Amino acid sequence: MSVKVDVQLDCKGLSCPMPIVRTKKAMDQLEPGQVIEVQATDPGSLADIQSWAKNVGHQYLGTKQEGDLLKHYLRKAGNYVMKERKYPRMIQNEELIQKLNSDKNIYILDVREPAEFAFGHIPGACSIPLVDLENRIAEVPKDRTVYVICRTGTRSDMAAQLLTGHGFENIINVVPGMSVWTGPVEQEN
Amino acid sequence: MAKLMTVEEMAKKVLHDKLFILDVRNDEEYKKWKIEGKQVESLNIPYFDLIDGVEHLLEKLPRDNRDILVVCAQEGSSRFVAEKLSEAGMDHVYYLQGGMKTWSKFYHSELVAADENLKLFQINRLAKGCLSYMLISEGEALVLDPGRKTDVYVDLAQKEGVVIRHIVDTHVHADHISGGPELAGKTGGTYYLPSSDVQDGTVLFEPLENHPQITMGKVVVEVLAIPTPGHTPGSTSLLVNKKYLLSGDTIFVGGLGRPDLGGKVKEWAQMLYETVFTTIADIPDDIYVLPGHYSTVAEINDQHIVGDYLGDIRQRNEIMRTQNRKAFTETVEASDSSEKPPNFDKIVLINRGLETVTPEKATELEIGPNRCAVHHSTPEPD
Repeated sequence: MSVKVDVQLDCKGLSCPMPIVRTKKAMDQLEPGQVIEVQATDPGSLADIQSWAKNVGHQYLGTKQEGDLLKHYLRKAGNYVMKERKYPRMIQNEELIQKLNSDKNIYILDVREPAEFAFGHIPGACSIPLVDLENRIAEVPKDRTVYVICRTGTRSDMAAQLLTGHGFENIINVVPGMSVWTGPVEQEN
Repeated sequence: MAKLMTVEEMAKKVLHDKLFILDVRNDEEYKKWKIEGKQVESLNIPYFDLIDGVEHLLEKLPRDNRDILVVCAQEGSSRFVAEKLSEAGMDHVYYLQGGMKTWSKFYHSELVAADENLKLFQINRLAKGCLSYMLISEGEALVLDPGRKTDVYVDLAQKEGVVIRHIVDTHVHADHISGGPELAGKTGGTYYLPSSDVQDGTVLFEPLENHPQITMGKVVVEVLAIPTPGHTPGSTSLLVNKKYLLSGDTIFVGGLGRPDLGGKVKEWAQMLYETVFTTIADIPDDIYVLPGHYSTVAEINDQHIVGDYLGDIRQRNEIMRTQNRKAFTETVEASDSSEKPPNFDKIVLINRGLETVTPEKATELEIGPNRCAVHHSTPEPD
């Protein structure tokens, strides 16, 4: 699987503390919400990068192993306060799970970053990151109900407003979103 | 400048002196396994919380004349942190050479007994709490439960001017990879193992049960092999000169060996009961027990030896006096729900000759404490 990321960082051949020191420096340069891929060969980097990300509040997405090479994916924490959701039409996770049980053909639009999507999404969901949505708006069907989802309901709220602004009529925001999703999940391989 | 401390230097401090350890590994690794000593104080702060600076850490560090040793998995992160501490004006700051990886392979020898007929060394792999032994008499040596770093035994034999004739494993170990086969290859000595532990394994060995006595020198040292099943069905203890009981993983200073590592906990717990209340019951109180492990530094005595008189062990450990079969077996069976030695199933396969690994992989598999004892009276510290 190749994952679209904003920045790639090469830490191959480095042993600790350098993979984390370099990752921290690179993260400082990123915008909130951007995703970094850290390539490392030190097996210790796996546990350390997870603990570090948790301690500083970055989102650890996952790690892909290719032989001795470890690719760690992280998303920089946002410094924005949780905004009040403006888009009124919402559905709870549990309701969506029930709908999925009776109808597998529901159209779900996942607006998270590709790396977040890659490490776990609802089977059949379409991936269009929020930042790309305006350019790729033609891919979204106008004649169907569209359930928009992200991690916590904020990006999907913005996506729902954007789509409605473009004349879409059946848009529903799924809350709280994938961070507490208990329904079926698939990963890209 | 932060200074380097070798594992040898650290071992001396851990055994004899005061030391403050700043362990900069992540907290999960620290909780599983750390450096301990009677006068060692340790603090865990992961190195990745110190990348931006160590100022917030300074007030947590001692300002007496104790050395501060920074420790990590391999060395790099401890050096990184130690240098930051030095730059911040801290004195007596060291980092550990090779980190926990090198520490896990360090062995310390202590002379237990010496008279004209017998010299007995206890070789303590401090990081894991694994104990092995060398018995010497009239130019010959027997090595018991050797660890993987066989040079330690070869060097000691050379220093003592003796030839290693016998190499014995009290049982097939689950917590460390035996140095027995390699040491036999290096020295030409005979490698003994209890057959019932090897089963269909392919390791080359002489069945220990065929040798109720192993003589060394001119019959000066009598080694009596006593079957003491329980920790494993083949577990054997060696009684040396009717004075020392080299008990393997059957009896520890702090209790008994756990019977659950073979997946037949109920069956083996019954064997352990029989061993404790028949075989061991016949051994007098003034026999000195030298075990295969310890689980806390409290088990190391003032002579830096792990050992105690059987009578004192019986008195201290309630389980040794729990004659009610049901109460006994229920207590030792409870070990099944406690954390097992790291990678124990794989290590057993290697020791039976059914799997081979590279030295790097072997080091990785052995990282961590031994976890071979039943913990019945005191809960395991976090």
